[in-house]
Amino acid sequence: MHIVDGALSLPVLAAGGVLAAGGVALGLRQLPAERIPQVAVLSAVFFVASLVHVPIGPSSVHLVLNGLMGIVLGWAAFPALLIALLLQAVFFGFGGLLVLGVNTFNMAMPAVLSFYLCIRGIRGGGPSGAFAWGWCAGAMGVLGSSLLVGLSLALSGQEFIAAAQLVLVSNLPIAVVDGLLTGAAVVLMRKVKPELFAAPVPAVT
Amino acid sequence: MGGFMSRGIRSIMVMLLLLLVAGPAAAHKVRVFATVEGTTIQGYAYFGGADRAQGVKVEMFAPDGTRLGETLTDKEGVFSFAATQRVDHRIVVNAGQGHVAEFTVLSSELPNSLGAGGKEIGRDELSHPAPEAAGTLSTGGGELSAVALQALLDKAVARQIRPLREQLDAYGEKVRWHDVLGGIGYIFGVAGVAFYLLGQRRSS
Repeated sequence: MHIVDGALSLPVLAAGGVLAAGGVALGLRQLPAERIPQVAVLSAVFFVASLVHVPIGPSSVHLVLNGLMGIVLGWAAFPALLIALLLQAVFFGFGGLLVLGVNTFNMAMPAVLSFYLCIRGIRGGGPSGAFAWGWCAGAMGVLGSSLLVGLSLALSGQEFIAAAQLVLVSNLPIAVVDGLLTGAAVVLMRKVKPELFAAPVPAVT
Repeated sequence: MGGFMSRGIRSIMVMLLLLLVAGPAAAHKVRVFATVEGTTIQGYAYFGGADRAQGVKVEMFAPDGTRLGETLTDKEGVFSFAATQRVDHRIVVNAGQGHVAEFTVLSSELPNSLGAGGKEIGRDELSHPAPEAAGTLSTGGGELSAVALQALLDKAVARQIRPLREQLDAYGEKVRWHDVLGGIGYIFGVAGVAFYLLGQRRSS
């Protein structure tokens, strides 16, 4: 999911940078002071989750958890992911500094989408409904990101179908697991900290 | 309801357990490592940790950007490439999904017998690396030219230091706990700065 420096063309890098900057600005503008610790905690969770590798078959996968970030943070997922990705690039060489904008947008945009699509379902209804919507949010975050990664590579000259297929297929198991964890987390948070999901849904402006 | 609740807690416990078991493993990053044996560049592509990258494209580029050739890795992630020019070989591996890695084999690792930039090199250059051993050495029964001896020495030394270089390469890739903790610290530090800035804006 982390695209490295040198894999993308200049226009894609520039477009990703601009889009990510817009998302970060939007996220920061809507961020009340009392939600800053949530942003920091989820940023740290994402930062660590990418380091934990679970071997599956010949390859290994790691959790992404951007769907979970989205449903808790909304647009604030942008700054949270920007910081986590920046530190991953600096400390571990995941991704890179030039592609930071593209990577941030690729991970944060699906997170924001899953917020708008799933938050009502997560708030209303019983725990099983919330679990299902949480699962949707988690899976959507991963699949949306892999589609965007495929798209970024395609726009940089790699064959889209091949690139997207590879990214999608290899990320399917992560999407399922990410969804399960997000669903479980949603059920837990609704029980112990219902105010996490109580913030009003901001209009997309 | 209770079932969902306990399932939620259980999966979080499983995650924590995985966290403990997996530890800070190396990442999904693709890496490539290569050495020279004779005129053949041998190496392998791997994902951080130990998984080898199978069947991925390996391309070689000269310093001026010209493409010297390409090959594929086998089931063990190993590739080999017969060098024809004594120039720096920039090895680029593309494992898909935006996973690209580079490694450079320096021209000094390649034997002198290969011409630089396709040209055959003259005698003067050939004898240059071992002036003190000029002439021939008598060994046991036969005689060994200085050039041949140099080639043998190069090969032996390269073979001896290869494990060391591999170890160094892998060492640089290891994700370390203090980096993880440092990163978490930075994140909370940034949050602290955000609070500070907000506080300043409010008080002014």
